[in-house]
Amino acid sequence: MVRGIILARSLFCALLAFATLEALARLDYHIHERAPLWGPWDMDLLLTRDNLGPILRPNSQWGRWKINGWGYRGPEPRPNTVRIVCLGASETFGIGEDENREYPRQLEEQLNQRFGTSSLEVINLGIPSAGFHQIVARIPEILDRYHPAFVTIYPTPASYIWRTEPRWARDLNRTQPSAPLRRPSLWPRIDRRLDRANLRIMGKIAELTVRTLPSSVVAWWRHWLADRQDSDLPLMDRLPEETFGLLREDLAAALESLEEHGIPVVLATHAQRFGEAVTPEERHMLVAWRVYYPPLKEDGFLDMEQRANQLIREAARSHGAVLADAARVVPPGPGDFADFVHFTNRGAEKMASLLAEELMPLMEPTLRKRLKQ
Amino acid sequence: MWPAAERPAPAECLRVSMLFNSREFAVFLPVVLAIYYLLPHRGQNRFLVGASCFFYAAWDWRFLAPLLFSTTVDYVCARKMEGLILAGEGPARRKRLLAVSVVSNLGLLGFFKYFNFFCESLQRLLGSLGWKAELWTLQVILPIGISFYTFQALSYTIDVYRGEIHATTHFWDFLLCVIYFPHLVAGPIQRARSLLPQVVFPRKIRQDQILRGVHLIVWGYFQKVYIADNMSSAIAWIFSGPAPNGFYTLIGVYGFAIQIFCDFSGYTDIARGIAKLMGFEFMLNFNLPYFAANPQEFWQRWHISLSTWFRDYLYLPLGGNRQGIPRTCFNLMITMVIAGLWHGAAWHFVLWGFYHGCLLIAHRFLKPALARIRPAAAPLRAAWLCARILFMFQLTCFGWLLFRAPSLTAIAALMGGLCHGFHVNVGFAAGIAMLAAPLLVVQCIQLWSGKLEFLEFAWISAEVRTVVYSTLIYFILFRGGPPRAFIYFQF
Repeated sequence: MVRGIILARSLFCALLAFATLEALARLDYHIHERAPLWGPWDMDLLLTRDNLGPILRPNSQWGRWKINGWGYRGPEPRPNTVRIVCLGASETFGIGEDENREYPRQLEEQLNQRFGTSSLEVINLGIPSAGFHQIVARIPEILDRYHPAFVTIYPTPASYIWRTEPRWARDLNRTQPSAPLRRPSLWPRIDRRLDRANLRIMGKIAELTVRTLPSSVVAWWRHWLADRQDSDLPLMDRLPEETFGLLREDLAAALESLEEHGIPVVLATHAQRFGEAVTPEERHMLVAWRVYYPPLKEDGFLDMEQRANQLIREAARSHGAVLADAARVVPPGPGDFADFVHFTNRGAEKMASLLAEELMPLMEPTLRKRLKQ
Repeated sequence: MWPAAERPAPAECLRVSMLFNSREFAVFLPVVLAIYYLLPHRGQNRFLVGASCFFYAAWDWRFLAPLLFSTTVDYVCARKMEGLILAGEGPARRKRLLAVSVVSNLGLLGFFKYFNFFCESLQRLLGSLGWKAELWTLQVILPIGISFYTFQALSYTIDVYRGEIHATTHFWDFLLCVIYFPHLVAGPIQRARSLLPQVVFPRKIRQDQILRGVHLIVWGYFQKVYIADNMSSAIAWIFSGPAPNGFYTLIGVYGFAIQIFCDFSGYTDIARGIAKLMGFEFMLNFNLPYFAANPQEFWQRWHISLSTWFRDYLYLPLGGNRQGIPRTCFNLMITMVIAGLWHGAAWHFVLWGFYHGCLLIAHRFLKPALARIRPAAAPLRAAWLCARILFMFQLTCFGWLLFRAPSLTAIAALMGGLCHGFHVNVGFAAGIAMLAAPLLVVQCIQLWSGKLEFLEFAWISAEVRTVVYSTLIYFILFRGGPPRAFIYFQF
């Protein structure tokens, strides 16, 4: 009897301890990230889907990211401006930068400064977790809605990992890449269940675990899980040539569509933290990147980047688009990259400078015409 | 010991070390405890020696050499002194053996900690007199905790010399007394007379001891990781750059007072807690020092193990207060200046010791006058006590300015800064106050209850304790500041 009471009381205390930790975690998020005390608090607050793929919810907020009334990150669009639209995924949206330091915002600052005007407006149409083919599919709608004078395109090659054979995987409903905004998961199935339970303390514990364990242990664990991840795709050493065919098709479709409307384009190669070869100290970061795309082995990523960038250079050449070779200009390393592909403030500044350099010769005639009018 | 180019920077040394707030220690402690509980008494002692050597060698295995040298010399000297006492010999030969122990311990300390300081100071002095002297400086790094273990070992030989304790016949027991990892690198400076019996006789671990141990560990980590580390991040810039205005200097000094207390008291609490988990009892090192009403009381409450060491082995042998006022003042001053120098080989520590010496002497003169002020009404008495505590806190904080400033010129700049520009930044002050608030609340409870274990009231149910512990653990794990080495490790 006494033992039973002690056991029951111990159990109650354990539950109470967990409840206290959860309450503190909620309060903590509420104070520091303005999260609601009740209800969900995850990336789904920012993102929804339509028939073309993921899209940002107008007037939504998650963490430090705020979406305006038009459904993109940045200030509301202004009338009577010369618009430059930046197309891309999470790298364009800006994950690793401070507020207003993402490269489209810095590009706007730099262009206005260089031309001595305030009538240039950069629209950041980066959508986290969107595949490049999904962005391409939106181009007609974007042109119709924003009437851009110029467009920059920053494609993400990794999204093509999910578009590899089998062919039925190309179906849009099945090609949704796992969301890069989500934190890396050590045990995805358990994590998904906990996500459903919406226990915020678990997120804190997972972060702490990743932070505390030696990076080699975390990398080994992630590697082990990635190799055993349930996937319809085979485990690949490198992406097959056919997959790059899809990228070639999408680039061509995007450039032709913009060409038809007479909109000058700057096409950027994809920069990443590792450059041409990963250092042993950075290998754990490469494994962390793979967590989002488990079908491709780590060494296949750098090969994928190089081949994709080669295709991007060829596409720019063959369609007469201006090339911004970010992969060569933004140096690898932690100074410019917050993680594997997302820029730091400094990296975003370099990207913005590069785009500004390439855009300026294209813009000068247009701006002169405008000024005359 | 090794060329300057190869010499690891102190920060690098600490990065691979077994700090109490490191992940290495988070693995080390449970493993040690698990094995410890499985072993018999003698096996426990041997195992603790091995574990402590591993703990210490994690910084640098070469640090073990001076430690083992000091321990061996003290063990041999103590054994020989004990033999002389038993043989009924006079003190002359014992004195020689004590001298060997003192010279070897202080020699080690002087070599590693003060040699360069004195050479550089002498060089500067000669330079200011116009003589250009090229004196040696050594490229050595300071073994962690040398000030603590040399003092501990010295107290043992002095106590044996005085006949206050018997020398142990077991080298391993004595070695464990010195090298036992919870107190090895930053105290408390345990006396052999209290620790040695705990090593020699089998230890019984009681349930209440474990609970108190856990309590001390959790509260210690909260003080260190949440309060001290966050405070350090908030105020470090005040002392590292050009002197800020008066407001920031003032807040910085108050902040440092909280930081150093939480850092050191946190370390001591963790050390005492770990010792309790193994059935050892360490002495109390802090007893609400910022509630002291005068300098004498402050030193009875702050770093008690060091202040009592200096009292017993320096101040009293010098004559204490038994040889007239001038001699007492001299004894106080010499003790405090040496205590200041013990904290570090730099002139601002000497100045800090001198300042506290002055405070103690001034208090000695003012004590009779202060004793005559005895308000009759209870509220007035309480107000008078509060005023004295507050005044003493200001004096202590001024001492911390001398202590924290990186050099004598920085002290002058900070004191200059104190005198101008009080542009109040309410947000900054509120942030500092928020960090200090949990400490103030807990200390008020401790003061009011007269119990330092603030969760030990019978009326506090297990449920309330659970909530409090969970809250403390949350702040330790998720709201701690950037990890920093304990301040007292450098001493």
